Amino acid sequence: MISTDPLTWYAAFLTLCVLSFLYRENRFYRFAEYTYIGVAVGNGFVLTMNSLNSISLIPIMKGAIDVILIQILALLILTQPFRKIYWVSRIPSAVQIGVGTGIAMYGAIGSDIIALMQSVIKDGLIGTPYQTAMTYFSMIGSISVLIYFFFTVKREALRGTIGVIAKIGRYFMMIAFGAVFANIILSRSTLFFSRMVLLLVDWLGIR
Amino acid sequence: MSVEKMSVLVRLGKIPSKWLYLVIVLVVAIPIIYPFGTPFAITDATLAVYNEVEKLPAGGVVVIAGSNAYGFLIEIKECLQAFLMHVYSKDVKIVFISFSADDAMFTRVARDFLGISQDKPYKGKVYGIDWVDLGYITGGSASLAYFCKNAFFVTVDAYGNPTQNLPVMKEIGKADTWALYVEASAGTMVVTSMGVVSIPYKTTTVILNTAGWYPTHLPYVTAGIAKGMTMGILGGAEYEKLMGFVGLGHSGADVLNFTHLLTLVLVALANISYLGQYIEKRKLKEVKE
Repeated sequence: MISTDPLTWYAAFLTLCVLSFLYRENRFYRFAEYTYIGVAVGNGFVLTMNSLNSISLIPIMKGAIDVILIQILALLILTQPFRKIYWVSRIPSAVQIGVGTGIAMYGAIGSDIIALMQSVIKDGLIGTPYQTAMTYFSMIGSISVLIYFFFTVKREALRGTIGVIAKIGRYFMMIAFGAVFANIILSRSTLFFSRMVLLLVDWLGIR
Repeated sequence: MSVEKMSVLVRLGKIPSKWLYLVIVLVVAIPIIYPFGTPFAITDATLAVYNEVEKLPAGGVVVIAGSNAYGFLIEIKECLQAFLMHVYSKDVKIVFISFSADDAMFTRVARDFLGISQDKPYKGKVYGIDWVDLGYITGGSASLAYFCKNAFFVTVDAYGNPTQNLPVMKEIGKADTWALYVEASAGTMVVTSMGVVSIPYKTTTVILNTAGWYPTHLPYVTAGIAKGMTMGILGGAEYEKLMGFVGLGHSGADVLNFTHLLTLVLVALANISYLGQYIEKRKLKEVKE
């Protein structure tokens, strides 16, 4: 049975507006696009304010000195429009970039380099035959792809053994991109599936 | 090969895209209306997520963090629902925290579907005593790093209650005491959480991922940094199967099987057409010479 819920009708209308882009760019599509942006910004603004209330304003009211100092630092970024004191805004930006880089580097070294290398060494030495084979296979892949991106010498000069390894690296990349592409199709098909469920099941009541 | 036959091959590659869209709509719509129930296997990575929940100690803390965009709701929702059904049936404390504004709605939609709310207990779990939703917290990786040390830096929950008054908050502690950390996210926040939570605190971690990011994050599972990972709606279907019920994930598995078959056919046709164009060009060149 067809839905009697006005919100479902509105969701179905917006979905059809977005899908109309497949025909061509039109006003209905733009209406849905602007509505989405408006709702997302509004929702994001309210939730960000709530979050700031939770982690900044309430602690400040309670006299948390560290939070007060951080907020003073954050307010310095508002000096950007004033040419004479513009340089002050660089201080909070520098702190923000420093903290972000520090956390990212710490995480990257720990998880993306050390832990993955440990796993490769462990599987390569004491793993099952399958794990060992896969480890050496992925090592060949990593090294050959790195050689493919070796730009110190001209590509034409990469002949002989090095040239062959670079070519193997290219094939590894093609396989990797193929796997990612297949998963992206999977992902996008799921998104379309959700819209079709809304239109066919929730809205039109078919099934 | 005659020139007429060649032009058929070439014409294959020039099918108007609108016709292809129509075929895709049919391929997606038919399994929704008439489910085929195509079989699918449960992957080791999904089974590992299930097993980690089975192993949870009594009274352990499960932190479910996310930073999803709302558009990807369908990718993780089915899995999250089945996962929540599983986790809520265990004697554990559950904490929800979101690091993107959309994600705060995301987890709420999954809970609403199961009828989990702060007003009435679900499977004996009472809001504030057994579970809490801390809502959206700004700051991304920096906030996550701080939350691992001190959960009380979030002073009010998603419903505006002071966290000091919620007994469950006293149970959270530092990240090294958590029984399970669940990263229900896609994208870079998974990478961040591996470095901020899983490695430094050695916290048992599982990932509820989207299909698009699955291959990128798979090395974390093979290296043992994360114990298990689910893949989009297919992961949802697998988890539904493990929990013994048929949900929307099963319909999704049907649709994905058919869309993948269609994609394979289209890729094959495009390549045949490309080959046809190549042969035709060579023939024309030979004629000119």
